[in-house]
This record gives sequence, C-alpha cells and structure tokens, in this order.
Amino acid sequence: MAVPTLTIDDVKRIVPEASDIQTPMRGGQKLVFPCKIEGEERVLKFLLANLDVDTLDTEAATRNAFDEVTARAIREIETMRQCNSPYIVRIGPISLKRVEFNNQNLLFFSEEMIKGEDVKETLLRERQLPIREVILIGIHITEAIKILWNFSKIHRDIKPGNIIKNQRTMNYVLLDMGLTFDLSESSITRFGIIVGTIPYLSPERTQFNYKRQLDFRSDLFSLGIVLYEGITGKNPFLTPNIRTSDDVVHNILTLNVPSPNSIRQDIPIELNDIIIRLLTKHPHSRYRTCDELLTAFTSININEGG
Amino acid sequence: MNKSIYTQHGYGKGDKINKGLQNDLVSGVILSPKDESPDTLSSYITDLRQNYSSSKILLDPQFYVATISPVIDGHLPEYEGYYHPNLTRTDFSPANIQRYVEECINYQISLNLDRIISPTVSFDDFKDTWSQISIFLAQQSLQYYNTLNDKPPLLIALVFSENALKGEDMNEFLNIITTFNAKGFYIIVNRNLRQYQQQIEPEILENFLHFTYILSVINNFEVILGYTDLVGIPLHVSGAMATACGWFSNLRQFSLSRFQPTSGGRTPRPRYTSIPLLNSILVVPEMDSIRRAGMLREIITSTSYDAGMKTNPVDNPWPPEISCLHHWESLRNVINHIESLPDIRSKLAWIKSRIERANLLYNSLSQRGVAFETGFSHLQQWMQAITGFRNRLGI
Repeated sequence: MAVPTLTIDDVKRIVPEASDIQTPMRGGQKLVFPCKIEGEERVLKFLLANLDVDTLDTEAATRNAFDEVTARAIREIETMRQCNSPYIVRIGPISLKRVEFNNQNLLFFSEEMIKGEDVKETLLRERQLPIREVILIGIHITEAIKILWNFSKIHRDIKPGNIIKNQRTMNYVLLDMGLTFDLSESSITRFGIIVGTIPYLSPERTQFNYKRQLDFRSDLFSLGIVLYEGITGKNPFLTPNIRTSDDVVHNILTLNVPSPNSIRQDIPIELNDIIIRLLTKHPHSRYRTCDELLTAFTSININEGG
Repeated sequence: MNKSIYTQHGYGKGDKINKGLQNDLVSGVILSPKDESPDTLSSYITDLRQNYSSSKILLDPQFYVATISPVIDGHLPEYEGYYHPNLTRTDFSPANIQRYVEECINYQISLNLDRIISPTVSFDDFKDTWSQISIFLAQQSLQYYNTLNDKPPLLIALVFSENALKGEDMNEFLNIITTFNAKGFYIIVNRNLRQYQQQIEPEILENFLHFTYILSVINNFEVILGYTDLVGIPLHVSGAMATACGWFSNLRQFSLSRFQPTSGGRTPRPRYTSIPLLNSILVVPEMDSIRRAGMLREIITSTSYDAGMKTNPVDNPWPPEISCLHHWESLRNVINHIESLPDIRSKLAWIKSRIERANLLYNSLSQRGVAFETGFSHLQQWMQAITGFRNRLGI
C-alpha cells in the first residue's frame, strides 16, 4: 500500500492551524506527524485516498467497496468519536478532510497524542512483562473491547503493536480503529479477504463464511494471545515448526496451547485460567460478557511485588 | 433458584403434583396446556400460587406441536390466543414470527408464572431450516421481551432430536445462542426410544452434558431440562439448574410421538426407582426376582414411600401415585447430594463411583439369575459419556 509523500513544510501548508510539526512516522498506510493544534499535543494522520470515490458520506463510502482506504478512515473516525474512553485513542479537533496536494489525493485527520511505548516494543526489550502489567493490559483492553461492542463493533486487530501504555495516565490504550468491523452495517471488507494480523486471529476469523456471526469474543481471543505473549514472551501459535501463514492458521485452529504456567512458574492460577479460557477455540467457551471477564481479572490474587 | 427437580405436568395429574410440592419432593412444575383447558389451567395456577407460594410455576406453551401432522394436540386448539395448528415452513414469515411470539408471550404474562418460555419449533439437526426458524423465534422473543415492563424472566425454549447431538454441529449453534440476553434456556431433547429405558448413545449423552455445561457453568444461564428422568442425574452434574419429569413414561422421557396418533398402548406396569441400580425397574418380574435372589436390601433407595417394598414388593400396594412420589424423592435426594459437593471435579468423581457400584450390583444380580428386560448397558453408556466429558474438561 502506498503512503503519502509529504514534508513538514507541506503539512504546514495543508493544515495551517498545526504548529511544532515533528518528523513523521510511518504507521501502516498512514504518515503520522506529531504536532500541536490549539496548544494541545496531537498527531496528524495522512492517507492516500482512491480517486474514484468522491464522497465522505459514511453510508455511500461503505457501500462502495472500491475505496477501502476512505471507508476505513471514515470508520476509524466514527469509532473514535463514538467510543469516548480512556482505553481507546481519541479523535482530535480536525475531523476527516480531503485535499489534493502535489498530485496526491490525500485524506487527513487528527488524533490525541499518546506518549508512551507500545507493548510490542516493551516485549522486544524485556521479553516478558510483570504480572501486574499483564493484568492491567487485560483489564484496560477488555474495557476497550466492551465499549466497542456497545456500538456493535469489533476491533479485529488487537496485537501488542496496537496497545500503547499512556505515559501520562498509565492506562493501556487500544490504537488503530481502521479495521474495526461494524456488525450493524454492511461490510467494508470484500468477501473472502481476511484482514488483521495472522498470528493474532481468532479461529472464527480464519473462516470466510463465519464473518456475519463474529462478535466481541473474537477480540477476546486476540487479547488472550496478547496476554499469553506478555506473560510468557511467546505467541503460542508461532511454534518452531511453522513455515507459512497457513501453518499459523492451522495452529490457531487446532493447537491446544500449553498452559502459561508450564512456561513461567509465578503466574497466579486465576490469571492462568483466564488466559486458557480466552484461547478456547469456540467463542461459546470464552466469556459471555466483558463484565464477567473484568470481574475475573479483578479477583486475581496477586502477591506483592508480582 | 436452588437446583432441583420439577414436575413435568401431563395427563392424569390427580393429586400427584400437589403432594410432590407439599412434601418438597419437587420445587416447581412445568405445565402442559395440551392436557388442560385454558380455564382449568388458569384456575390451577391460581390454586398452586395460593397453596405453594415458594414453588416455581412455569408453562411450556408447546408451540412446537403446531408443526406436527397428523397431530393429537388435546386441549391446545382451545388456546386460540397463541396456538395455531398445522403450521408449515411457509407460515414462518417475519411478520408471522413476530405475531406468534407476541401472542405466546402475552398469554404467559397474563398468567402468574415465574418464567416466560419462548415459543419454538422442533428440529432434527443444528443446521437444518427448522433450527434457523427456532433461532428466529428466539431472537424475536428476546426483542419483544425487551419492550415489556414488569415481566418474569425469559427462558428460550429449544426442542431438538437427540441425533442433533451427534458430531460437532452443536458448537456453531452454541456460539449463536450464548449471545442471547435471556435468563436461560428450557431444553427438551426428543428421544428415539421405543420403550421406557435408560439407554442413550454415549456420544449423545457426552454432547448433552457438554451442551448443558457450556450454557450453565461457562455462560451462567439458568438451564431447565424437560423430560429428563434418571439421565437428569448426570445432567445435574454438568450444571443443569433443574430437570423435570412426570409420572407416565411419556412424561419422563420426551418423544414427539406423544403428540401423534397411536394404535393404543398397554397399561403401564408398576416400576420401582432404585438409585443403587440407577434405573426404574419393573416390580414384577425384576424386583420380585431380586427378592428371590436375596438381594432386595441392596437395591432399595430408602425414601418416605418404599418401606413396604423392602420385604415383599409384589404384595406391597404400589399405586402409580406412590410410585411417582417415590421416584421424585429418589431424584431429589440424589440431586441434593450432588449440589452439596463442592465442584464439578468431585461431582464427576461421585457419579463415576455410583455407576461403578451399580454395575457391580447388576453383575451380582446377573450371577444369581436375575434378568432385566432392558439390560443394564446404560451404565456402560453413561460411564463412556462421563469419561469423554471429563476428558474434554481436562479433569
């Protein structure tokens, strides 16, 4: 996927209300510029839109599956706007805009700036996380899944790289609503295409014909993988024998993962049981509600210093 | 609600239900409109409410009978408010489903019941068209129920063939129904039995245990299993909140043939429920043979009703009403014991040991020449099912 070609000076011209614009980072299909807007630290996100679609209307864009970039950006912004939560990244003062610049058809919007490290970076450095942090990730991301589900949405891309620890609030925050799937609307993803990151897919997400029955329990499975990886340092489905993504999918569908406490001894049994339950192959065996899972997390007996 | 057994009401109730409730043998009743006129049923509910205020009163609307043809539906056609006989697949348009649901729920709300049971249709397979209609009826029931105020909790009804419990198809069905925002489920499994017996294919029982466990233990639904008889014992182990059974064999074990024309049947032969044998055996000749083999004491359940059976069962008066009350007390005592055990691990260990003991007992009886009309292969089937279920749970 192409990413826009823009300099800091270009951004100054496109968004004159932005100041202190910093060197950009690349995030998926987006070019992300840290900056200040109305005195607050924000990020500006730029994408390349498809020229064929000339609308910013949600329904029309969603109906027209040709421009997935626009549709996803609209979906992302809608999700952030609806889900006002400390555990989900918030929309900034500039909502979705379209501009033509240097022969590029650009979409851009602003988001809150969250300073901190994502869980993927932390795991690369530390290999494993403290038990308290894993429980906090569990609680905060379950809260995020819960609020998304209140709007009939599932995230579909929960993974360590999409979870950041906010330095200011110390909350874990779920990022990137671009793949959020709204079960109450028509799909923006063409039939037969699996979106998301394969090692974090739920079993039902690997089956094309399952999409219409997806619910928040699919996100709970992905959260289970994140927690497993956080506490053991290993994604349970990335076993040494895998060669292709099909092997990973096969593992997701069939592998009974080893209990986390068979890898790390100091895991409270309650947390171990929660992770195993989140990783059950059938959604019916996970948790009926996010509230039940939150209760389970808060009842974990954790020793001081854990 | 405490875990318990309920009476499955049907034809010829006499005084059995009242005595069962009065003596705390059962803690609730599931009423059958097929077997009472609307006026009688309504005043009966009023009587039950006045006399047994702590008992649970439910009504199985038996909407599923509407799709049976030819049908023997008793008083059901008198329930014009919600029962529409001879329905076919084409009658289940969205508009009609909405009407059926509203009529059925409204009727139950007009009575003073402890639960509302949604209308449903029976199906043979978790993937067939009828199962989809069953899901639509459930979803519409939830939707309509949510518009109502001051209502008793809603149970979603499911009626399906025991063959549906073969294989893995139940998982996708469970994935759907575990998203329902209902209090629980009222489930009836249509058995393939030609005569009264405890046999059930191990795969079917194992999946039935799992189905119950997923709904009750994992998803915290209230699960009430209709027409379960003695197989209700392992089903309590797997988490059922209540199991229900009545007096005649067709009220203990469910078959849709109950609602179909028959060429007549014979008068039921007296049976005695022996918990040590995990069976209801014939007083003559089975229990009498056991007496002659000198092993009567070993098979006696010891309830408030069976003192006279300990010496000479053939000469002891054993009318259907006493047999029924004894049956309920036997089940109640077992269920109370199961509920006193701390967790599923110990419950499974307990049922396993009871089956092993029953098996030893049957073997001793066989060695002494006692023959049983339907054998005792159900014990092996139950054991196989429970072992499979334990393995699935990793216990």
